Amino acid sequence: MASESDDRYFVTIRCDSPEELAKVRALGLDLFGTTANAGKEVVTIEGLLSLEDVGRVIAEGAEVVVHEHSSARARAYEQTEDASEWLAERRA
Amino acid sequence: MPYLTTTAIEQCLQFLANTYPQIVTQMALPEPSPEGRTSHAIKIAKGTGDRHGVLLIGGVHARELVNPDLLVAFALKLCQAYSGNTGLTYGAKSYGAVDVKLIVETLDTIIFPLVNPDGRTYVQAAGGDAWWRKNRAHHAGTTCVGVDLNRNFDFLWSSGIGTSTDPCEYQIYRGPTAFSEPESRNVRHLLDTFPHVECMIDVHSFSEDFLYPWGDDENQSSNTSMNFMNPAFDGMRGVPGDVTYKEYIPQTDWDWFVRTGKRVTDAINAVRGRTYVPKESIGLYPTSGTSDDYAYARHFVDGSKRRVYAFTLETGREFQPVYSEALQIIDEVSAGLVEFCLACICVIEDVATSAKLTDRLGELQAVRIQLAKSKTGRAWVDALERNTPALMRAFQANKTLRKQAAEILSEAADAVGPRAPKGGGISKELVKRADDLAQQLSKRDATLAKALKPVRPQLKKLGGRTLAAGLKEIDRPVRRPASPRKSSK
Repeated sequence: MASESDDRYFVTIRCDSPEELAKVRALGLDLFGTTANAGKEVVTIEGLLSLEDVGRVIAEGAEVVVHEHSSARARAYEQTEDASEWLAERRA
Repeated sequence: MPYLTTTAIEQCLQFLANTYPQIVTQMALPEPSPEGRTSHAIKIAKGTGDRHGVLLIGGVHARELVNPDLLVAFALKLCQAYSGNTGLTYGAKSYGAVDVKLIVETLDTIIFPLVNPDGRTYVQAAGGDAWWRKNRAHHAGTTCVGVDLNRNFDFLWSSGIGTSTDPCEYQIYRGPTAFSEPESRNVRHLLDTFPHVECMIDVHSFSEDFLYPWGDDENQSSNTSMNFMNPAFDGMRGVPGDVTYKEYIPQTDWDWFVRTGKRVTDAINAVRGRTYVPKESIGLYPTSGTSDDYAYARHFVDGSKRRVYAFTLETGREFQPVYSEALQIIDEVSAGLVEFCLACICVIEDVATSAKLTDRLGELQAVRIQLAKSKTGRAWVDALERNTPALMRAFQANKTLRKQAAEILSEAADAVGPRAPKGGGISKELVKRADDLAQQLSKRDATLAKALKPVRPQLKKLGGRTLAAGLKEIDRPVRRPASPRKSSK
């Protein structure tokens, strides 16, 4: 199971069926529920997984496409403690 | 320009209350967060009285950074526009000053932009976790932290659908009991304190979806006993695509969710061409304990509570977009929120209330349910909702028209409401008066003229018939006369 100390990667998981997706869900991973999408032949879902998690998903028979490391999409540290400048820009 | 911190969001709310004291009221929520932070919400409203309420909440999931900024920016622009008597423009979508005035003077808009302040603080802290989702409650006897607040509401909480009972689960731990967490109790507090709230959006990220109930299973409108309160179906819920169980939703509510979902996503998509989609919450991923299902479910559990049309809006295409993209999301979703507020204004209720006909609203609601049973009736309800701003403007500008409308409503309730004599029809006199009103409204406003053009000839077919018979007659397909055969000679 992923934890905050793991190295994690954004992934797309491709399952053959909703049933296979349900098995992957049961692993208790960080999957983004609203991205679950049923195409003609595959069901896809996005998630944020450690490489260990990726191995567990593959063991269930699903395919995993690994995208960027989580740090590449993290913008939480771009922040402002002072609202005045932000408000001034929004009011302009 | 980067994301607001927890402290900066609080500063913004204080700024709004200080700068626009005539229309903004700041409220402290009663429950401090697990780390001791006091949260605030604001109410934007001019005037008092029996009004509809709209509740907008965000920041439930800590890592979804754009949404608290979005709600603060929406509030700021609304206040700014009202105070300056201007409209609002978001990309290619514009609203007039009259729309802004209508929202501020007709509705109580309650905004709680950051439900989970501890979570956001942790996400933004050096040494924190940028992808943290839950709150920061510590669980006795473990080193594990956090409850998924959007699995902690009291809707099928104990079912286990889409939740975890493991306090160390990273994302979807539902908590030790429903409403175990102060943050979810703060949301419940707002629903309890403002019982006139009838519309709600919980803003999340991501996927560009506008989700309406139910989340535990697919919707159905035929079997009223197959519902979340019936223990006979425990253990059968939460399997998308099966036929064993589907969650009951009244057809009129379902229709409203679909119509309003389309209206709001049309507004969002008009701003810069994105493709937000309205859909049932369940999708491929059933859930329980969510805020939107809880808010909508309350009136089924307790008939004394008002029905809350509650949605979840999933903004953008990632949790933490670069801020230039976040600003675009803020713009497009703000257009959707304006549209949502307008959709929550009921012109019938407004006219009835002004004419002291509130005791007849139940009968008028019954008429609306009758209308929803026919194709034409549904089109009329849709046209009424879509043209509410124009109708409200017309009635505010001309008290005689408003009075006429109130008289027609009263007589319509007599003629076709639940207390109407059995078999009694709609008089031709009433139809004529309704047509006169439609004609006057059409003269005043080009939008209304366009909307009423197909309705007026249809209305005439109601004269001398019951509502059901009249609608059936209008819905009847018109057969074209057969074209004469040519001689083969």
